[in-house]
Amino acid sequence: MNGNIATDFIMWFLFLAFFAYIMRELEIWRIIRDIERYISLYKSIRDKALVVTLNTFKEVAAKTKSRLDLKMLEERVMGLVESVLIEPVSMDPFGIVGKLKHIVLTGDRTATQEVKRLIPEASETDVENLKNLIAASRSLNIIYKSVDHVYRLGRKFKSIWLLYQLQALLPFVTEAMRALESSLEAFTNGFPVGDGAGPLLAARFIKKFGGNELKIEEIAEETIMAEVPFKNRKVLVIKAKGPSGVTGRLDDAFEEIVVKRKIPVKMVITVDAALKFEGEKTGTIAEGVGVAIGGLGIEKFNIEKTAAREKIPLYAVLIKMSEIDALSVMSREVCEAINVALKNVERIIEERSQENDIVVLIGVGNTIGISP
Amino acid sequence: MSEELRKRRFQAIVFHTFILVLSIIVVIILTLLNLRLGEDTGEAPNLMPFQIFILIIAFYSAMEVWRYYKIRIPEMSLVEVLKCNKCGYVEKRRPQKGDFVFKKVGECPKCGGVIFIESIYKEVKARKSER
Repeated sequence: MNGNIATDFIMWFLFLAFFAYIMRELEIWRIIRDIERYISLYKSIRDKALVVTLNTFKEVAAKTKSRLDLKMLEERVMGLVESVLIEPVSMDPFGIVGKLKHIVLTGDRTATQEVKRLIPEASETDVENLKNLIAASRSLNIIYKSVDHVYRLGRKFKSIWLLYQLQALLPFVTEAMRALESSLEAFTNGFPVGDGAGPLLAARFIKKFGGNELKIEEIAEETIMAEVPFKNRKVLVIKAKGPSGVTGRLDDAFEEIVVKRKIPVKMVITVDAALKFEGEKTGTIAEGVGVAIGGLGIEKFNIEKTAAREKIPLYAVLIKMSEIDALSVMSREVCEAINVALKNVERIIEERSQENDIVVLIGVGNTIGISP
Repeated sequence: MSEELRKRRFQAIVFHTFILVLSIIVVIILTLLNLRLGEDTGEAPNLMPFQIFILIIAFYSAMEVWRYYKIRIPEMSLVEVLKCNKCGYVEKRRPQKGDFVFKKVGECPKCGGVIFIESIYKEVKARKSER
């Protein structure tokens, strides 16, 4: 009798241990299948981006009647996609923004030279759009490779916790991939993207109040400034120079106005696209204080530094949108929200400045498909 | 990505529908087999656990088909708004490659003023039921 109970107990114990083991293996298998599905999707998006980039190079070459060695083109484009930007060492953070700016500008100039070397006859707009396509492909490539790396490590060591973490992050990664993929259409055709909300607002302000005798000058590299009269005030509108896909050197332009030309600026308003929360509607407008510029933070830092030194108040108007809206062709909601934001900007200038004051309005973002 | 998602959605619906139909067929065959063997031998084999197991798979497949069917992937269309500088005449069309906002595209058919591109945007295509 006692022998039977012992055998039953051992059998039950073995059964439970086996069941627990099988359940764990099944769970790992299920997670791996899920991650593999996403990775195959990411790979197809990355490959599509490469094909689109190569085809756009060929189209531009055909348009400018340039001769292209296709094998060499593929190698050079892959080289550009695989290239990396190495951030400066941050152990001693003093002066890191200057170093970062130097590296970013070097990277930008190198990309321009590479594209021009491949298609010397390409126009400025085409070069910038091709650079944007390469940047999107590079980001897609990095994301795909990073996810694949973690997945392979998790699978190699059967680490359920590594796989759990990766699986938990996949919705955010997929959003980023979808956003970058949707940018391909805009960069190929040269249409405005959601991130161009700031430059489009600046352009509409220039168009609305600029009149016929408008003075527009290139105040910094790839950056324009227009002097626009508005209700007995002078508004200096700064934006990247369109319609090519550039974001301009907004900090350099601001420094040129305030430091080099010593123009007594009374107020700065920055207008930019901002990420919305999942529960918010696209095109929601938010007002604030500070500099509304995203990215690495170089321009934001420089403008803040100059404005703080000169004690110039900083105001911001934000147009909310998702990451996909920001990088894909501008949506109708964003396009309509810009008119509302423009009214807010007019009100801010009217309420917070005096007559004869000089106000700086900065349209922040990629000005692809938006002139001037 | 919407094309890729649409393709994957279609593949998933086809796959799960196939599993659903196959499971139902197997359950029917098992039921008929049970009845037939019961008639012949007087004592039918107990196939109930297999039938329940396959029914669970069928239910899971049905749920997956319904889940994928309910996913709506919006179709987007591009719109370009042309506006006359002088009389405010507005026209909409599909943007051409290389078009940009505030590009001058010709003369106004009404007043002869300058027509320029006022905006380029994408919008969700209205579904048949919403038209």
